[in-house]
Amino acid sequence: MDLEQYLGVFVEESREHLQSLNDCLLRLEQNPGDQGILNEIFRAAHTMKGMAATMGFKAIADLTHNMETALDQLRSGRRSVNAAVIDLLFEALDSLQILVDLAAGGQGKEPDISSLVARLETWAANQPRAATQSRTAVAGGLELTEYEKATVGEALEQGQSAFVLDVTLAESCVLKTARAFLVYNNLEKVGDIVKAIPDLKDMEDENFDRDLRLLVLTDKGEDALREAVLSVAEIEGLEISALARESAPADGEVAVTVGTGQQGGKARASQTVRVNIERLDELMNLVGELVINRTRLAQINTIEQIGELKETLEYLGRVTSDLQSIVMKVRMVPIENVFSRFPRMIRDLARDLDKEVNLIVEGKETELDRTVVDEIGDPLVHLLRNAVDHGLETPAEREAIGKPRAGTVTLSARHEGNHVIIEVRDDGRGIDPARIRAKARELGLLGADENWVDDEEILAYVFRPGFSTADSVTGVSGRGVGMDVVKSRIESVGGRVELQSRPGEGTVVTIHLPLTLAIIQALLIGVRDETYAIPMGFIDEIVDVGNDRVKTVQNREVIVLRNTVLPLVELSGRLGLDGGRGEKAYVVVVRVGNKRVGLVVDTLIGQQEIVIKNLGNYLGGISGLSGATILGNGRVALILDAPGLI
Amino acid sequence: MAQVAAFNGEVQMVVFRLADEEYAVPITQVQEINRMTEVTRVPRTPEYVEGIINLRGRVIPVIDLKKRFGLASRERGAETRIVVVEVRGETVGMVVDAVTEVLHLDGSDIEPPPPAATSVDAAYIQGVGKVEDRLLILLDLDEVFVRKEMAS
Repeated sequence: MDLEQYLGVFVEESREHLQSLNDCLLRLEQNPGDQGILNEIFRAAHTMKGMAATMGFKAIADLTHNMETALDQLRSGRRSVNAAVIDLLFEALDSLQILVDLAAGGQGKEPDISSLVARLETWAANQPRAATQSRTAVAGGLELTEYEKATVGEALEQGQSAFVLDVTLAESCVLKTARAFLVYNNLEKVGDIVKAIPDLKDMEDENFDRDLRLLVLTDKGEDALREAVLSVAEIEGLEISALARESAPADGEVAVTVGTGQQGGKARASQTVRVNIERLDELMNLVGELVINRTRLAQINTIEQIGELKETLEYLGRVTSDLQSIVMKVRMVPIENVFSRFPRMIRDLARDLDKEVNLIVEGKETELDRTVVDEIGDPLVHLLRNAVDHGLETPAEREAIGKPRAGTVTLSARHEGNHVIIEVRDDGRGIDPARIRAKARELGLLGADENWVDDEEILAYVFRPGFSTADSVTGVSGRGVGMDVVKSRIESVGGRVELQSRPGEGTVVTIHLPLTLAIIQALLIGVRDETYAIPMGFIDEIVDVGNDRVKTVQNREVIVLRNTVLPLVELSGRLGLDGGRGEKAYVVVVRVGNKRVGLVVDTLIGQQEIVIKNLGNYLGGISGLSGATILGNGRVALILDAPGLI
Repeated sequence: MAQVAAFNGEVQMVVFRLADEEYAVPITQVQEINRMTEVTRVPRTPEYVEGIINLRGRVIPVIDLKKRFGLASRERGAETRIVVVEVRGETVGMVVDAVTEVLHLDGSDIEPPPPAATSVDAAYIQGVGKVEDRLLILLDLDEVFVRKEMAS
């Protein structure tokens, strides 16, 4: 068997299992007694072990095997969950992560897992804390083996019901074995007996009192079972209790949730297909071509004016828009894919920094384009680290100023129009504008116009390269790199980032992201003989101005628009075209952050859906340009990037 | 004379003309050859960057090879072509005066670049191919399309 071809699947599934292990461990840390979580962890570790062994990744298999052993101690109730074992398991996860990355072809040295394995073994081998601890892996008072649990789960998944029957034979009963056998046989006719106490052997030996306890799976109802049992003579009592599928993983019904959880996962998986993201990119490209050609056809027909073609074009238009929206939806993934790793990160961070942090995650089901999701992970890591490290005070400091000991960091995502808004909010010490101002002055960023920059604007200076006001360089953040990287990463996917802060109350960083990168609405404008596209996202309004309205203030051209002064940028000059302004000019007012600037253009061509094409490595990175697009007439137009122009 | 290591055995080359000299690139690097088409200028790029074109739905950069090498530019005519090549995994186009032929060249006919014998900087030349009395300048496209020159 060529394992290479399964490697991708293995890596991807392993990562999913690791993520779920991480999540579960965090939850377990909060709810140490929760059997459901323990079982989930056990299962994920078990699956990983199996996959790794098949693929020949011995280290992963060894490590997961030892985790399993340790987990079994917890699950069986022989040991209880404590901080030591959680830490040990987290450590194991970190090593697994590295091993999986290596398996995926990552660079680096294979970590030595022997000490970790040894510690896990030692922990698992230690004497159980209390042998008398009752076994909790029971269903309706029945202890079940793994296999039996799985059987029950599977049956429930297939719509059968599970019942626990407590049958009491009459005291006067002489032929106890015979009666028990009859009960057994009758029940077999209406369902499957998964477990019986006494079991068949004990029954034969008459090695029981008057009570029978049976776990039966059936697709008939409770009444059928009752009838089956009561048709036997000398039955004194019968109690039937159903095991519900949805039952909480508490007390007696753990086994059931185990089974269904597993089966549920399988059933869902069969509904989905894993697709390589590159194929989706290709698909998106092709749909893009289709959109371009549709526009082209429509343009031809504005000249030719063929009635029949018009109808067909309208239909084609509807089909392409549907196709486009489906392809876009296919590419959408919940932001959870990124958010899910943060709880663990914050936990570790809080521990390293001796801080107490409540992380609140909201809107993780918010969907956006896969490419955008891939890009925002690192910036968010940085912002969250900043929030915990610089934003939040130490518990002692917080208490002293009357705040709760634990700081709150909120990470939220939501849709707003065609955008996704992500917020990182903390209730820490906030940013003091005076300190930023002092730092900016020190770095010589302010110049003579210092007094023109108000406190709100001064906060934006933290996004400048090399800007850091952290007094101490911790291992976490404050090296003076970061916020500028955050900003450029987010802008590279067509987003923007803003920061608001109140000293003593906290900081909010807001990220606006486009839903998708591939197709956007844009305004086409003409400057001299060239056509350019400006993404609608930047545009506030369009003003028709005569040259006489243009004034010069401090050597800068401005217009007065509803009593505010709007600085102008001559696009022809910025784009290296022949200078000078034509007779007629329009001003496209763009907004970048909280700055508004008017771009002077010659003509307005119209609003259109455009497909963004990247300029490639050779030409990429030119400031003021974010890509190119192909117009309906087959010509290429550049897409202007407003932040780079002003 | 020493052979050029990069060329072993027989190689197939696309030969094109810039001003009065003949140049060649391995056919394996050439994707297609197109007539001159409408090029969109890209601001803030060096002069030799002609702009970008629509290659069947893809946007690719095009450079003027003569300007790139600092050769005197000449009117574009019916023979002007865009040679689309694959360099460092990227598709790029180069404007040449004419594409003349595709020929086989034996590795033994290729020699290292003679110092200062051509009008093009030796850094861009992989070797010189001799075909009868003709001299073909074999270009090193990886060098021609070096990104760092763009930074200016």
